[in-house]
Amino acid sequence: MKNIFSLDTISKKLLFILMSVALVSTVTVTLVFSAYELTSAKREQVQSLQSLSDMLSPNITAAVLFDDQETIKELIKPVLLRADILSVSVTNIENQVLVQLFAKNVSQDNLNNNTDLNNISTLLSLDNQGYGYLTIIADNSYIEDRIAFYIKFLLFLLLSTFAVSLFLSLFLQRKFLSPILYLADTADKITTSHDYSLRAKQHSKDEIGQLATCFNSMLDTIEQRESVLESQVKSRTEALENANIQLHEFAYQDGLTDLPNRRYFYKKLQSMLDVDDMHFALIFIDLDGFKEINDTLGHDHGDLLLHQVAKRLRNCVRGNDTVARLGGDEFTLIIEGINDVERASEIAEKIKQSLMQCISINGAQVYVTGSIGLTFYPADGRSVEDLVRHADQAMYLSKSKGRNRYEFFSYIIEEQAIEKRKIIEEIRVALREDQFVLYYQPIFDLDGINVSKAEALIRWLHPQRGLIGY
Amino acid sequence: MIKKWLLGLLISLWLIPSQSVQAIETENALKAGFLFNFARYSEWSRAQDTQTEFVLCSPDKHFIDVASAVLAKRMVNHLPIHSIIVSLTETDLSQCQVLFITSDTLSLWQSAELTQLNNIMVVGETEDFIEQGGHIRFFLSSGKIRFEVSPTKLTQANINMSSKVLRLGRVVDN
Repeated sequence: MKNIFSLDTISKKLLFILMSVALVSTVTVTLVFSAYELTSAKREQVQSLQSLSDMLSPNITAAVLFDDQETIKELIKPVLLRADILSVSVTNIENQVLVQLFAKNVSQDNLNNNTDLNNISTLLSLDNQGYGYLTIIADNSYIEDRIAFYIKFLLFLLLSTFAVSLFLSLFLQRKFLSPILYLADTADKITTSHDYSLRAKQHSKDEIGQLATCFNSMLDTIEQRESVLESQVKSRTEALENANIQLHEFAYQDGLTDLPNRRYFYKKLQSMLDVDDMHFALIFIDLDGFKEINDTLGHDHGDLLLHQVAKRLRNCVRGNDTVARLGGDEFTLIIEGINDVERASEIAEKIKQSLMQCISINGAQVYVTGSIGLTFYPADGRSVEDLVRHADQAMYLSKSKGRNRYEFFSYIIEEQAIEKRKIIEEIRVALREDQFVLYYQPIFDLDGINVSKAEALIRWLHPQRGLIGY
Repeated sequence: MIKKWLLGLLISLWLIPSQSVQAIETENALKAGFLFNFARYSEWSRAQDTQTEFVLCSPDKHFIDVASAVLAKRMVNHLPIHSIIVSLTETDLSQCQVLFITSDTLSLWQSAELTQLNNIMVVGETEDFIEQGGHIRFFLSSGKIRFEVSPTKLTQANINMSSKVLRLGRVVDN
């Protein structure tokens, strides 16, 4: 209900304005006419009574002159037929009542008690000489009847005016507002659909027509701007996408070999660990003799060598397997679906053989081999760190066993590595604690008598293990 | 005691005629007033421009005395009223506009040999006066003076009387 009466649309506002103007005008005219009618009714009653009195007075004057009270009564009696007249009296010039008649149910007391009465008194005269007075006393019933009729008429007029105004307002509203509403509707459609190709039709040649033309002109400008903007956005987006791709490449690709880099490798490895029932083989490769090639032929050749190695590694595995360069001359491969030593050995062997082939760089024939370490997921570790560490340990085992070979990770290796690392750590402590002891062992000549030289031997006086010497 | 009674009787006898005379004078005064009002509501068709007074005539001296007193300084059609005693001859009556024949002078009226009186309103107070040539006759009703009138005869005498007066009297046209 509140929405019906809220002025939230231009239609309601226009209707409100038109109806307000109509009502204010009607009410103003009504009030003016009512005031006029009231005044007019009073004046007319007085005039009417005066006129009646004037008509009667000559005959009554004659009757007074001839002292004929019966005739006076006859003359004034019909006057009482008027509903508003309460009393008619004729007095002589000394104001002595000659005849006085009252309307039905009216007495002198009524007249005395009622102060709101109209009293019309006419001098009864002949030849400019007064002989008495004709007095007519009337109430306001004539005025009240007339006002009552007038109020009914005004109410009818008001209702009629309201109805006609409403009809006219609705008609005018429809006629004048339809172009504006159409324009608003078109604007709304454009706002909703973002279709700037829509245009408003020009329904009239007035200001609203000009508004439609300006609106269409603005739409042309917006459409052109949007088109330019779209093309700009498109080109910028493309540039951004390219930049993103490039950034991605920079972030996840090794620029030298075009292989995935260390960051990609770790991310890939983590994503694979997150998959249930996943199993794969992780292979670490460290090139043997790469430093020498780099030092002798230069870094350019070293880079080309790495590029060639990468290509060969790529060719050794399937398309869905991952080959990455961790840095320097270290490479890694993730072979999905492999969890047996035999199949892994085949691949490792294939890699080893592939690396052993001669590589031609700028006319120079170079040879490299690879130290290969292998681990399996999930058998050799369940975290990225464990797998990488175990593969690294296997690779170093391979390297320590003479290079150009492959080794599988086993926990013995790890224990050895742990032991080694422990001893290294204890050596650091021993150096700090001065636990090393120097011994000189004389070297006797063949005669067994002369000592011409001696060898210095360092021994570790270990707190728990005692004296250790290698 | 007898002297006192006789004195009272004498006073009463003296007062009775005195009261009667006063009543007659009052009646004459009222009738003079009526005549004055008849004149005011009537038009004489042959009124002369040279006329300088309105003449009320009667052969009755008593009436004229009373009328003169009552109507002194009164005007009819802007003319002063002059009440005169006339003899009922055509020559004498030619100066009159109103002629009042009292009951005392009826015999004179009956014996006068007059032709049709034009421009003279003839008013009487006796029975059958209108049949005897009069235009208006006074009579008493409920103690009040009333009149009967013959508009036809007034018209024949070239006098127009206002309907305002005619409706007050008893019209006795045939």
